[in-house]
Amino acid sequence: MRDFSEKTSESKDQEGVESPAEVTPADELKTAQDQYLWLAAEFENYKKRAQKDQADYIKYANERILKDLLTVLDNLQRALQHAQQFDGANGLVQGIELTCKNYVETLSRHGVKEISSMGLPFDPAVHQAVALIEAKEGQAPNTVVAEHEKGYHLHDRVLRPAMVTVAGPNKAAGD
Amino acid sequence: MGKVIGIDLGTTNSCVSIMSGGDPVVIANAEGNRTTPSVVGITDKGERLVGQIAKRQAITNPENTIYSIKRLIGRKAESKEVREASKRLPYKVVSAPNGDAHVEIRGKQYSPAEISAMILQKMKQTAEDYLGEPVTEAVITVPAYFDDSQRQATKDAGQIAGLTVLRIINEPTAASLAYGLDKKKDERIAVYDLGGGTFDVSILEIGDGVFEVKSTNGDTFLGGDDFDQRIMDWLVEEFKKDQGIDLKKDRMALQRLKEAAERAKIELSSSQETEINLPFITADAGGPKHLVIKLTRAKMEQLVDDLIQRTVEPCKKALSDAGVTAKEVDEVVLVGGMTRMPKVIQLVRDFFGKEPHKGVNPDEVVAIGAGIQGGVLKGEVKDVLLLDVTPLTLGIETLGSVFTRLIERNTTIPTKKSQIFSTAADGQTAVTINVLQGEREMASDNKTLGHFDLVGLPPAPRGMPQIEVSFDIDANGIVHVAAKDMATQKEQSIRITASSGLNKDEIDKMVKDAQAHAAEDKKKRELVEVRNEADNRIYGVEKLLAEHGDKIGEDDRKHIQEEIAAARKALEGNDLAAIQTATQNLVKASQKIGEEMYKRTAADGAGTPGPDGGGGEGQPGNAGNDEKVVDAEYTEVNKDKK
Repeated sequence: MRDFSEKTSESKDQEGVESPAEVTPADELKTAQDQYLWLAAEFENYKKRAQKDQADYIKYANERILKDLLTVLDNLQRALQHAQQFDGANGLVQGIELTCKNYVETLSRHGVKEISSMGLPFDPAVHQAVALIEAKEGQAPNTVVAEHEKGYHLHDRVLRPAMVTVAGPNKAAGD
Repeated sequence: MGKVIGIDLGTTNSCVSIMSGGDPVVIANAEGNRTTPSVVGITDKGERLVGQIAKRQAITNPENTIYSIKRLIGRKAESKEVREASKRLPYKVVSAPNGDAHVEIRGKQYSPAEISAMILQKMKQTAEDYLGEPVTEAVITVPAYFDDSQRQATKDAGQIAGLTVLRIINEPTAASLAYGLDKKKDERIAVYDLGGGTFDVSILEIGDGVFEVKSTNGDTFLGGDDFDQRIMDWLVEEFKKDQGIDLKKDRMALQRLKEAAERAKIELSSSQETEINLPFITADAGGPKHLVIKLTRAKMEQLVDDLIQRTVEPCKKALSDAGVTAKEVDEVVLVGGMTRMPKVIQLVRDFFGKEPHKGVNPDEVVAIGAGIQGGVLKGEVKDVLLLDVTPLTLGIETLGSVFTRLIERNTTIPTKKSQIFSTAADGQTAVTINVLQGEREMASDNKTLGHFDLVGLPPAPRGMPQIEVSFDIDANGIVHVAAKDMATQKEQSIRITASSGLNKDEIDKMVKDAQAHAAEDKKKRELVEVRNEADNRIYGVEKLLAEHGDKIGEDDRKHIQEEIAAARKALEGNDLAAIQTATQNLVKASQKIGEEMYKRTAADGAGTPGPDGGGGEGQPGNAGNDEKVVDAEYTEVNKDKK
């Protein structure tokens, strides 16, 4: 519960109060010159930033749509997984496999690359931990032991981290 | 002069902004996100992780992943708030020797200020990467209810992060600044902030650019996450009813549900219905199971209704503490991602009885306000030249009473623009420059600001002389218009002071007029253009005929002359289509001359231009060169007086 009121004076620039003493034309000129130089510099920097922003914008313009398309790919892959489990290989499954491959290739042409995760040390920069299990025999601690959804890079950025299960840290070595 | 960054150091997310080119800009972090989770993790190797990365590893490292540190900063370990908060936090909250709440990570104690500093450092880094220069000064926001020790601790956090904290400002104040409410006089503002994890409502008073917080209230454990959870629970329940499978036990399924719930919530802010479609969500002996559920906005609103209603009581309390009624509040400001939800907006509207201010990104307004405050402190906002714009288009009158635009309305001044024009008649030795202001297509419908003559042009065929007309508006809105003959370098100019322009009402009227008459004006202008084109063609063909008429047969010559006569006749009327047809016929007939000329000159290869490349060419530059001679010739033709 909080309901006290408090006075805070803000947004006023107290320091900036100038006494209206004599301002000579020379002073005025100097201020104006400073202002001009400052503004010119600011503009130069602004241009540079705008250029960089634009380059980035172009490079990552597709980020959102690509990210959304990944869920479609996920479901296609899930369908395949089930099909392989239950029906084995038939013509239809093969066809979907090829479609899936096609999909991945298309994405990669637009700069989307798969992130590898299985068996690798857990890296939060590219992996999102969704579960933690105790390390079984032969499993190194703090490694990825299951991948639920593939992760992808778009150029240098993580488009989506891989959803993974991590083997717990070795109790002896831990905290 | 270094930049001052503005940081919204939030409970769940943080955001940084800066004044750039006079406007506040929110800066995206290295991962490309405009907000950064306020989460810090320390790995077993002692490595610090901040933001999204820390959040991703939280589940593997819960005791060493610190979130919601803002709930602890500047508070005593024994305080009610800390005890309440630590019940929900997976990490260890301990008491420092001075009684302050600290956190313990891997056996080492950290003060909340140190943890906050790690988040601030990340925000600082984000700004530095963007600016390409070091940043040392910042404005940081805190909730209005923060007491002195909490403010001091936040300031300390800034210092630890290597930032000089120029000012700590209240979040509702920052939000009001973002909406420019500091310019208002003696108003009461209510700020309704429903974010990821907390709800705050504040009543402010503003006078003379100074904000005074009259009261604050809220709910420290209410936010967007609760809304997502409601939708998720409902989905789980529906699926169970339908398929008999409890998804709560499936970690991955829950993860997908959480994302789907959040997406559905966002979608339902703009549409009435959405379908949650999660194929292969799970499987049993019978094969794969899919989750396909429709969720309507009405249903969702029903699911979260009590959450939304929970914000009403704090609003009432805040008002009564401030001693005002809802009616006496002049402005309402919405902050936080959850205020995108139509139902929330409606509740606020109904409660305060007025339309709230809402921006595109309500989760960024606090950071934007902090950035603006940074700019004010640096003198950037206050001292930057107030750049004005021209309220109306400026231009001159050209052939056929057409208004030719040189400087479009809303151009930032000072500015300068020039264009080359030519004469409309053979041997014309003077032109009149009629300077106009307005939005209409025809000169007569706009306002004349002044006019002057440029005389003493050497006699030349029409279209040959090049006259550069330049408009120059200085920062005070004073317009200099100059005309210069490129051949003789003769120049004439006029100075038009702002007072000879129009006042605001007149400007508004002219802009409205232009919109109302747009279609009609366009037709008039088209007619003039077609007439000018026809006139030019006739002129060109006549010239060609005079020079090369002997090279074609009698019949052809006669035919061309007939077409010229027909075109002239058409020009007497105002039938656009008739003029166009006559012009086309004339051009077609005149091509005969070109054909004959090519036949004759093919042998010696002399590039005598055909009718379409030479004098018969459209309005501009009938000298056939590629100079930038732009359409339109002057209307007024002063006969040789020199």
